[in-house]
Amino acid sequence: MSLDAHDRKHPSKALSDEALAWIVRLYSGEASKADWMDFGVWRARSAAHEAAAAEAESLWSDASELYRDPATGLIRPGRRKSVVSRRAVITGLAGIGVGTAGLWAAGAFRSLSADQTTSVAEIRAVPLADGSVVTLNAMSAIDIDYSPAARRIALMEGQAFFEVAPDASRPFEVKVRGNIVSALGTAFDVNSNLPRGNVAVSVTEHAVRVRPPGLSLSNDGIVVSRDEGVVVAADGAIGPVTRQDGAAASAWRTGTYVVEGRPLEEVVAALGVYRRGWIVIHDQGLKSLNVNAVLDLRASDVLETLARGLPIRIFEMSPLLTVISRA
Amino acid sequence: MRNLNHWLADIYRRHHGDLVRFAARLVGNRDGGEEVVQNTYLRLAGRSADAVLIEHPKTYIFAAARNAAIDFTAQQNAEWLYRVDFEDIDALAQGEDPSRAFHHRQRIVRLAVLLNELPTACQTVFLLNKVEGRKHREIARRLGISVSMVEKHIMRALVHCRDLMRDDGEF
Repeated sequence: MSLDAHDRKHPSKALSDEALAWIVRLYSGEASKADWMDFGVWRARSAAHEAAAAEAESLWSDASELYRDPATGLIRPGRRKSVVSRRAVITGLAGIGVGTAGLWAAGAFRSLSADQTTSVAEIRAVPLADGSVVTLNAMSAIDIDYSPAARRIALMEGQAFFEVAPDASRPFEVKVRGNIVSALGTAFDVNSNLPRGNVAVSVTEHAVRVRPPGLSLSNDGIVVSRDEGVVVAADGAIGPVTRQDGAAASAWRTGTYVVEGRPLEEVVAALGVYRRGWIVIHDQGLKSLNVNAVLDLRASDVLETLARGLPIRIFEMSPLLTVISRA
Repeated sequence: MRNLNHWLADIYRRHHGDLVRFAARLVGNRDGGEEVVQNTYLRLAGRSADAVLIEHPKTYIFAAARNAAIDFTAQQNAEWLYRVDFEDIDALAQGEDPSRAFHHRQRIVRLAVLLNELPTACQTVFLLNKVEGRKHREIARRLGISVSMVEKHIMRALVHCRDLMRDDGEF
């Protein structure tokens, strides 16, 4: 075999050395999720980078079953006959793996305890006993608590659009992250799929009253009217009431996502419930990138469509992990 | 053929002692080392003369001895090499190709032999990190060396194995 054949078959040693240095760093026991993302971006640079990364990874994984024979001092193949209990081996994707498992565990728990749930990319209208209708966006969950005195819905996760049948004797309330949204004869949208635990309320008809948690009884919160919206932060701080087209805010019900002047991270959160796995924004600065777009939520290439109009690049790292980086 | 025999005789005269020491280090003892080196000569002698037009005979014969040591180790670990562990059964039940596990273990055998060529400190650091899952910082503290030295040892082990794994199947 000639040297030329080697060069063609393998990535260059310089590139391979870089890949090995990544492996050393990633398995130091102190690598962060950001390091893994960086490695993902590095390997996506070219086919040669990917080949070098794959070679380094397979070398690392092949070296798993080795032990030092105490009799000869020699390294041997196989597993040591459990002299000491083996410690948990540093697993490469610990950060991502644990996070994902956590997310799915939370989802599984949710669907056991909630009255109505939707899964990835599923939208469902739920008719209620009084003629009201709740439309659940993907990956959402509600609990329904109807009594002779009140109609209470808890939005436990995700986003829902409420069309409320009038009944002055039984107030209609939606509880979301401690906030109470009371219908004043109405159609409105409540979205908890927002970064940092924010909740958005948008009104399509009439008005609602929004009461953040921790208000004294004398404080009635604020009233949001038709074609207005408000965002309540996780700490209960109410943002300014802004003009927004109620139809646009609830366009997701027909599979269209309309976004005007919103940060990229919010858009990614909205698209995230339409696919399995994670979308990660690699660059902190990109999270606040201003986005105006009309997107088809059901299109499998919706991220690529988004990328065409923005200075971003999309990497499909695996079926479960998509990374967005600066173009 | 005469050329080849001359060549082997020359190798024997110049390098036999070093070769046996080298092979013994790879397989664990002097007897094993002798056997490996005999196998190396036998294999080379079986080749046609023009297949052994070699620029660097010393490099070549040591590489051949390394490969003979890998075969020797594979034989010694044949039971392990062909065994199906309980933990493999799930994968097999899911239709995974059983020969994949075998090839994987053949690569592990090769790596074990390659790692034996390295200095003991380098081996120890690599095993502590890769097999026992210790953090760099922890290994440094335990062995009384710097974290950057730990990284250098691991990198050296990986580069060494990478270079020699690339030569797979040359002999």
